[in-house]
Parts: sequence; structure tokens; C-alpha cells
Amino acid sequence: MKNTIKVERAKKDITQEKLAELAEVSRQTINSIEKNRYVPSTVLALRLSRIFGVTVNELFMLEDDD
Amino acid sequence: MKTNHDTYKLRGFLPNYFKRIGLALAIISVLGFIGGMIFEQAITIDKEAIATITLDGVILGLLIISLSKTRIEDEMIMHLRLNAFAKAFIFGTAYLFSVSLMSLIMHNDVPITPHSLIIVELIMFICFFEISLSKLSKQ
Repeated sequence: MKNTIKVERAKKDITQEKLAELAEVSRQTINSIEKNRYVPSTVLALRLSRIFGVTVNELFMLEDDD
Repeated sequence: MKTNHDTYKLRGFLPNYFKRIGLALAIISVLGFIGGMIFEQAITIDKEAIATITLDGVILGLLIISLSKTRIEDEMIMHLRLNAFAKAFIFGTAYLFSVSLMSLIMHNDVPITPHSLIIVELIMFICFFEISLSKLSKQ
């Protein structure tokens, strides 16, 4: 699964630290999600989509091998 | 909907400072065991009772460490914790098999007590979890 968190972050000009604060998780969790090392729960995915004002489908996309 | 913070606050884990309490309890128990061995003749209490009490102290200490929260608790930390639990359980099972197999091959009766198995599993859990956390903090 890939995601556009880094792109959305750049658009909104917010750091991983700030996003972590808004999503109530650690910066390392945001970093791991961005690097596809960790797949977030539905609650966290929804929260991130709400922060960026996009749908979950726009933020997270399935890849061919998923 | 509950916040992430609320979700992980309700898990029933102990505050972070309990890690130090658990460590102190485990160290005191180990020192008590060593002291019991050194001053064996001077102590009138049953040797087996000392061993049981100190091993229980070590287990309790390790359990307190295992159940203590990290500074920041979130869903990924919980994920790492569950992974560490699974690895520690597999390690404990492998330890049980290997010790009993060695005992059979070498015709040497090495007793596996529930205490030793639990201690191995708890130590391995703490190690796996701390390694995961240190890898995470390097990111």
C-alpha cells in the first residue's frame, strides 16, 4: 500500500512533528507510515484524511501486489 | 470516536516510572538470591524457600517492566509490543524444546521449571521490545 502523506504534508507545509501532534501519535509513527513500514489503523487513516481534508482513498492506495 | 491517546490510555498498562520500580525489584531479588547463596550457613530459612521467593521477585520485577508504558504510547508502539510478545513466546517454546531435547540426548536430567520458562520469556520480550524501540528512535 502506498500513500501520499508526504505530498499532502508538503502542500500544507507541516512537519512530521506537527502532523504527529495533530494526529496524536509519535513522529516515528508518521515516519513509518510515510516510508510504508507501518500500515495505520482505520481510525488513524481517517484522522489523517480529516487533517488533510482529503478522502482516505486519496491518501492511501492499494498497489498491484496488495 | 475515541482519540488515539484515550485508546492507548485505557489498556491497563502501568505508568512509565514503574519500569524503574520493576528493574529495582528484579535487581534486589537477584542480589537477595546471591546473598542467600553466599551466607547459606548463616541463614536459618529453608534454601528452597529463598530460591522461590527471589525467583518470584525477579518474575514480578520483569512483569512490571513489561507492563510499563513507554513515554509516548500509540498504535504502532502497541503493534511493536504485540510483535515482541509473539517473538518471545516462540523463543520460549523453542527454549523448552531445545532444553528437553538436549536433556534427552545427553541423558542429563535438566529440569525446566515454570519459573525459568517465564523468566526467559519475559527477558526475551523486554529485549525484543527495547530493540524495536531503539530502531524506531533512530528513524
